[in-house]
Amino acid sequence: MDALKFCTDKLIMVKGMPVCPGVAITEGFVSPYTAAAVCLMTEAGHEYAGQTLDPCGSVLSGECGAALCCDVRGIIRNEADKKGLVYLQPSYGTVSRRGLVAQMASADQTGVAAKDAQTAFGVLKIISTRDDGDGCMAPLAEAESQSEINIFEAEIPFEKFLPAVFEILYCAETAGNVSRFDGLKFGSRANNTAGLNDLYARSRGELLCEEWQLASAAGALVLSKDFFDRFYRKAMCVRRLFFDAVDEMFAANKNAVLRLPAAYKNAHTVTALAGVPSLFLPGGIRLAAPRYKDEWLLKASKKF
Amino acid sequence: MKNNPEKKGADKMEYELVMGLEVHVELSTETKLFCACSTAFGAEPNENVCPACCGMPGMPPVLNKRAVELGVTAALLTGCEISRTLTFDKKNYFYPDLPTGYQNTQFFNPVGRGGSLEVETASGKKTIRIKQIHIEEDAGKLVHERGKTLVDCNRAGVPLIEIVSEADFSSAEEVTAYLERLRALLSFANVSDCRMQEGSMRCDVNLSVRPYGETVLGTRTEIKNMNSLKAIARAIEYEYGRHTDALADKTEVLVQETRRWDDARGVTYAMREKEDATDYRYFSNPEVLPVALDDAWFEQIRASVPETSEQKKIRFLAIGLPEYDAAILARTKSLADIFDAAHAHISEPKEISNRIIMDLIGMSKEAAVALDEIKIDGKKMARLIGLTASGKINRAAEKLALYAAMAEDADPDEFIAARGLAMVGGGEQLERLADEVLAENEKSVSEIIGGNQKAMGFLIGKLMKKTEGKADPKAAAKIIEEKISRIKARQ
Ligand SMILES: [Zn+2]
Repeated sequence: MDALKFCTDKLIMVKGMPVCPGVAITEGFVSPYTAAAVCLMTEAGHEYAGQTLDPCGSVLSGECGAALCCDVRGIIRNEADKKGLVYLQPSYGTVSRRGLVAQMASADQTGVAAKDAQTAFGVLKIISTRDDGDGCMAPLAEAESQSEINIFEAEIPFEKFLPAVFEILYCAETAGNVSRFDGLKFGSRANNTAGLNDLYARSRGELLCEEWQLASAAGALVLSKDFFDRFYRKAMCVRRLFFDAVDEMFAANKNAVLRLPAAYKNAHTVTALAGVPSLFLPGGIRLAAPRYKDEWLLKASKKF
Repeated sequence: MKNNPEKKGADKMEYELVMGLEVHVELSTETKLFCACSTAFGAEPNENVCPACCGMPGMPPVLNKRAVELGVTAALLTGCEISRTLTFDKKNYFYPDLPTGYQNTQFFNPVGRGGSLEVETASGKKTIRIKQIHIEEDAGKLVHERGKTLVDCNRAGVPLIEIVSEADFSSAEEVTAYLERLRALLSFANVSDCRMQEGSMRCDVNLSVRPYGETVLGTRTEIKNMNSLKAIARAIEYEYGRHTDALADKTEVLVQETRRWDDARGVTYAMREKEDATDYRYFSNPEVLPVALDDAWFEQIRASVPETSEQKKIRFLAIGLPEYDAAILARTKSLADIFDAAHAHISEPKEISNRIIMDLIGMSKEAAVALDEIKIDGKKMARLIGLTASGKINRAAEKLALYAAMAEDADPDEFIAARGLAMVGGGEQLERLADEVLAENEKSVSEIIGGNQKAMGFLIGKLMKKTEGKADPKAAAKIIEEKISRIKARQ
């Protein structure tokens, strides 16, 4: 792959740069280190162009050849879709999460927005180097020589439960992970607070972004003693069933990737909850592959 | 029962004390539970920290396998059933000493369950049931200075185990015996150094009092902040008194609360309540993948569990040490290690034991070295015992050399040569000096010959003085006796 310029979204930390720009509570907190994925890209000779709140715009304008993003909720994927870009969400554990501001840590994974699949996979090859600093890295992939990859369509198992399961787990995990932003450290705090509890409550009430506030409130609820069994535990059970059902679905369709219907709005829940890779191609083409078979997506993309 | 709570009035004899313990023990790993920072005690504030244990975003945890092994070891030593899959959960709460906003602990699936420990007190043997042992990380420390509160994260992320007992204790004596047993067991196995003063062993006591015969437990208080066994015994005594006063004399209404022990004033006081009935919103930490403790790893841990103090004592008895000696040596790991090291070089167990118990323990006090930090090269100690046994030096010289070997790792032979401590042998030199003594003290000699044996000691003393104490007193006595009997025979 030729040397290219790349940018990162707000959740990827780069030494000397603000952490989560645009979020008031982290204002003034400068990252003391650079995300593993960014280091790997610059070491491979690609030029880092900086952080952006609009990674897809940056790729579309040609300013950057690729954008590294953390897109748990599918927002950037949909944006890429609208702009006619390619978005590659790798298998969970393929790219080190070191330097990624954790939200839903069980699904957080650096993805790539680019103009074509070839570029996205070229970037993935660089950033998927194994890292002992992340205890959730995927097992090393076995070399294989699958030449022909087919495409199948199927009903998504547990489909109607996925959005709720995703929201519950996203909120629970995000609530825990953003509780470090408490007004005491890593950024800003509310003014004129009276005592510790007031400092926590007002800093988080005034300065945490809305998405994190909602996640914190909902996360606290689904994890509370009274609701744990009804929400969190049940969501974890469904996730487990879904995880296995996805494996079975792929096992039943040998050497094939799944094509999701163009109208399907919850593709991000499939990748997040089952940890499988997915590729969005221009024209509403959404493909998902078995876990750690990211390369199959590239092969399948050539059919379009 | 010296630690038993003092019972003030006859009516208070009717109240039974019921206690359970939560003991936190810092694991003796080199690094923290989820990062590579050092766990060394006594560093400058925030010297042993990194972005991960400071709670910065973007630092996934990497589980320290050694901590898992030590946790399993502790569970094995206390007879627990071991969980073969290790998982970690997040305990969520806000506090300045908790940089991430959650503590990693084993809430759903502790490493060990259902163990027990036998304790022995003046009232006999008793089995204390252990409900569970779980691995977790420590929090940081708050330092209050000039009106400000500062956070020191050196301790944040240091691996701990919490050993939770059932409410099986009924006296402070039992609590003390249990903690001593636990300390002996865990320090022997290198699970922890268990130093209460440094906070590597901490104990919270859950205490309630009820009339004898009552089956329902009384109002429970949790006592914290005791940093010695003595403080724990005093705190229990105080709380027992407070509870029985409240029940018998209606001095106050007991409430379920956490109280801190004030050692200087000898009282407990209610802690300013945190948010009441905190809901910690436990859930499994998805960033720490479950670790399977497979058979090979489990057997490897089991095989590496060192000898317990009981096993050591049995072994010491078997090689011929008396009960008293074996008990003392087995109780303190450093002493047992010294014994074993010396015994590898010399096969007289009682001689070695005598040196440790009669000399080294006293010397460590003199040198202000804690008993569990006392060190001496076993080979050097064995050499000194040998030198004394063969009459090359006397006990006084041996003690000096032993002290030097302990304090400065001095070589026995070099030390003895440098100080001129070698014994003046029974040969010509001693004979010549004895002749001098007799010549200089003719009066005493004739007294002895005249039948007054009292002067004998005086002459031996004179000879010892001439040798500057380097003669074997027995040899000195023998030579004087021989010479006088020869003079007597000539007369
Ligand atoms: Zn650290």
